[in-house]
This record gives sequence, structure tokens and C-alpha cells, in this order.
Amino acid sequence: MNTLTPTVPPARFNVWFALRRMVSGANIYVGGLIVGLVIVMAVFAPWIAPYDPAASDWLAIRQEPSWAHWMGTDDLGRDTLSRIIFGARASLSAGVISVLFAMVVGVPLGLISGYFGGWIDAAMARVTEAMLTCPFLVLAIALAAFLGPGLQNAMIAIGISASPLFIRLARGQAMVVKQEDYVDATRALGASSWRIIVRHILPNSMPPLIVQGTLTIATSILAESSLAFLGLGQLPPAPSWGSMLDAARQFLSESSEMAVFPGLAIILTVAGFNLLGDGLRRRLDRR
Amino acid sequence: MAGTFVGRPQEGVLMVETQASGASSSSPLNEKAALAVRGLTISIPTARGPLHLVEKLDFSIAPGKTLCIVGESGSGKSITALALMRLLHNALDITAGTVDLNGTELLGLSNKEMRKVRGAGMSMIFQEPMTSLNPAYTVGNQIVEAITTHRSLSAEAARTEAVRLLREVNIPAPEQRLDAYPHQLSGGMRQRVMIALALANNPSVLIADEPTTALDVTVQAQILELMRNLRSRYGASVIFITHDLGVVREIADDVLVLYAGRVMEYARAQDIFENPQHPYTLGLFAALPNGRSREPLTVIPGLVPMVGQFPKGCRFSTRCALATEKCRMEQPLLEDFGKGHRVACWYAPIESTRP
Repeated sequence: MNTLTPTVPPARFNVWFALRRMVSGANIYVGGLIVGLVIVMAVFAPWIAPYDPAASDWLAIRQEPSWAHWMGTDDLGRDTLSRIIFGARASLSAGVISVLFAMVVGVPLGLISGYFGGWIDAAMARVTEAMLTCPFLVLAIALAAFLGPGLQNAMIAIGISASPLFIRLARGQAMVVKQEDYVDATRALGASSWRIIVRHILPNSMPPLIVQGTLTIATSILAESSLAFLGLGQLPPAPSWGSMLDAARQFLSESSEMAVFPGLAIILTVAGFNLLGDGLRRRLDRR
Repeated sequence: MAGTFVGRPQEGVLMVETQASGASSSSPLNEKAALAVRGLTISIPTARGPLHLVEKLDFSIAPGKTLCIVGESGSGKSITALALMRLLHNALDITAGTVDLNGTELLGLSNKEMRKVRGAGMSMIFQEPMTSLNPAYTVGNQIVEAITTHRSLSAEAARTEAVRLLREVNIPAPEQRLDAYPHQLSGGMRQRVMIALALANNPSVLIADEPTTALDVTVQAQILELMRNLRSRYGASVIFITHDLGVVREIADDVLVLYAGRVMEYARAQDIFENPQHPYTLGLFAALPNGRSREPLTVIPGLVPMVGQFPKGCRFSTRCALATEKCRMEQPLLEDFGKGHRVACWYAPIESTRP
């Protein structure tokens, strides 16, 4: 009578599977931790940094890392650690502000385009596609060169270059969300198109926009560093990771640590934002 | 209901004096109508000219009465409802007809004026309570939005009004439910919220598009009971779209049988149940389980023809057991066979088929 014994094989503990689960779940924490550290660095820079980032010590030029200068000094005798801590301000504000700018411009345009469709959408789609044919960085460099050097202009250039991403994403979201039953129901209660877009389409379009925003911060930080490297970003003597790399370029063989530490800072920060964005996608994606 | 109006009186925009909207009213009851629809034709433009999804629809509803629109899937019921609200998909056009709500011709209104009618003069309950509420907001938030769309009330007054509405639709502990998100409510509760939303601005016509289809049977009965109560309390006319004849028997005053976008039979509920005239109506009744016989249910063979493949004559002729050459070639007119009982069939009137 025992023919119906369950024949489910005993669960085998798969180390790789477990490890992968753990690592993928940890994305959001690792990313969040790195991003949090960078934010703390940027906000509390004057209290954390051991030296004035702009003060030259002519007796300590291009020193290797030591107890006095943990990451060494640059060609003008400035403390690299302090400059990296202050440089976080330029990188972070370039990343966050330019993405906010891109979202403020792109999201409303995208929502309007996707919601109304028709010729508005067709016109917007052409402009967006035209901007997207040009690689992100190339467009940002061209715009920054046109606007002139400086952190503010770099942020505007990056923001404009990133906005088509948000136009396209918000447009797609609006096209999906506007077909939801509750949008019809709201319209049947007499709501105007404007009200439907702001109150119903926008909040329900946010999750992928937040993910895209976080990932684009990483790209923007990289772009700001590139612009600074080319002399189009943060102006000296104010520190920026990109311009530090530029300064280090001449001394790569003699004082490689001058390039290594700003490079590490960029890599870690970009990776942090990417991990955070990826983790957010796992959490927020409803599929 | 003398001096009825579209929208709230204080808005003053759509005030309409009492106007007998038809001594020639097409209602079988021949009363002054809250809503009168004449010659409504809904079409989809194609390269070979427009195709009519709904053709020459005539009906009217007296204040406080319920009209059931019955028909199979694809007969044009939901499209008719959306057309009345002017919420049709862009690809569809209303190509002919008038929709008269308390004396206001809705098809001639600007979009802005129409927005004031939606929710206040005429509102609509949808089929899917599970997806008809915005998941991002609390129930209270959405009811308050519905109220303030048409009335200028303070936040506090609107909230009090929202609690009152939730109590009206028999939601227990309405003060607490106000802060619930839609996912925290069951389907039946959500449909009650949808009804509260639809009633928020005291509309004179309420369109319910299969409001009980997605609910289980016991909840269905509760919702029907609730709608019946509210109808008598609010004095709203109800257009109830369904394919469930059991529901029709429960709540209908008038019944309109729609098939392939055409009216087959239109009469008082009592007349249609006691003396159905159209073969299609008879087929629908035959397909109802009666609870006694153990015979398999009778079915009407075939499907509703596709738009564009409608027969030249009577739309039902492709599936009608009685169809003759005349039926296939000539379209029968909707004719009154007494007491406002209208039938579109060459065979009408036939002998009473039910004792």
C-alpha cells in the first residue's frame, strides 16, 4: 500500500548556487555602503581631510605613501588623500545634479510624448533618436567644449546628453501605464489629462526611472572625470579626480601612485552606483 | 425629478431647465428620460470605408430606473458604454446619433465640458475591481481626488465625505479603510470602493460594465443588493451591462438585447422574461440552466460574426434556426408590438412561448 511514497529527491546543498544568491542579494548593500561612504566623504570633507587640498608643501613633492601622507603627494606637494576626499564633492555633485537635470528635463517630455502620442510623440522620438545616435561621452564633450570649461557647464553638458535616456524610458512607461484600468477609471471620473499624468502615470512610472537614474549617476561621474581630464570639468586648483589623473599623466613612470589612487576612487564610486542601481532593479522590477 | 441637472448646481455650467426629452421617447415606459440615446452609430474607419460596430442604437432611461444591456461578447455592449462617456479608443468614432443627458447633448460638448459631465453627470463602474484602483495611493486618497475633481471642499470636509461614501457602500470600519491601499482589500471590497467613487458626485446616470463578472457568486449577490439600494437612495438611473440573465432578472426595469451591434429586442424586463419575441432572446433563455432538468444546456450554434462580415439581412440570420431567404437578404426593422415591446424580427410577433 506504500506505492505513493513521495519520490522528491533530497535537496542537495549547492555551494555555487547559495553563493550566487548571497552575492546577488548583497549588491544593494555593498553598493549602498560605497555610495554612502562617498556621500559622507563629500559632505564632511573639511573635517575628514587631514590637509588643505589646495595647500602646497614644497618640501614634499611627489612623495610615496607614508604615515604623514597616506596616499602620497602630487607634483605640487599637495596631499593626495585630502584631494581625493574633496574631489568626491565634484564627482558626486556632477553625477547627482546632472542626472537630476536630465530627469527634470527628460521625464516630463517623455511622459507627455508617451501619453498623448500622435505628432508630439513622433517629433519627440525623432529628436531623441538623433541625440542617441551620438555616443554619450562624445556628445557631452562637444557640449562642454561649446559651453566652456567649469564644473557647472560640465554638469549641464552631461545632463543634456543624458536626457534622451529618460525621455525614452518615461515615454515607454507612460505608454504602458496609460493602458491600466485605473487610468480609464480616473478619466471616467472626470480627471483631466494633466492630472492623470502627474498623479497617476508619473508615480507608477517611477521604479524603472529610479533604477536608470542611479545607473546614469555612475556614467555621469565617469563623464565628469573624463571632462576634467580633458580640462573641461572642475577648474584647478579645486580638486577633481579627473584632473588629478590628468596631472599624474606626466609622472606615470616615476610616481604611479599619483594616478592609482584617483583612478581607484573613480572605479569604486562608479562600481558602487552600478551595484546600487542593479540591486534596486532587482527589488523594484515587478516582473 | 423635475429640474434635473447635469453636474452640481453650484457649478452652474451645465444647468439645464426641465425639458421633456421626448414625448416620442424611445423608452418602453414612455416617461421623461434621464438619458436618451438616438441613432448612436460607432464606427471604425478602414480603407474601404467605415465599419459600424454599433449601428442606430436607440434607447432611453427614466430617472431611477435600470436598463440592462444584454448580449454575447463582441455584441458592442462595452463599446456603447464607453461611447456614452466619450471615452472610446482613438481609433473608434461616433459617426451618428445623439446622447442626451438631462437635456444636454453630450456629443456636442467640448472636451473640457465633457470632463465636468464625467463623474458628476454620468459615471462608470468597470469590470475589473482588481486593477481599477491605482496601487500607488490609498483608497481614501483616491476617493478624495474624485470628490475634489468636481467640488471645492476642504481636505477635511472631503475626507469626512469619503468616510460617508465608504459607509454608504457598506464597508466596515470606514475610517480605518480610508488609509488602506488597494492591495489590502478583497475584490468585493474594491468593487465597493469603485461604486463609492462612482457615486462620489451624485451622478444622474451610473453605467456599470459587468461589475460583478470578476467576483464570486456570494459577493456578486451582495454587490447587486448594494446597487439596488443605492439606486433607490440616490435616484440615479443605471445602465447595467451584463451577459448574465440571472442578474438581469434581479435588477432590470428595461432590457435591451444587443447582437452584433444591433438591437434585437427592447422591452420592459417583465415582458421580455414572460414573452420573449426574438429568436436570439429565446436562444439566450434556452441557454440558461433551470436547476431542474438534467439535460445538457441548449446552445446557440456558432459565434457572433466578425465586424465587416455581418450578413446583409438580419445580423442573427447566420445562426438563427428559423432564418429564411428574406431574413438573409433584408434587415428587419425594430418595430413596436405593443406596450413598447420592440423586436427586430420578420417572425414577430410570435405566440407566447412561455406560460
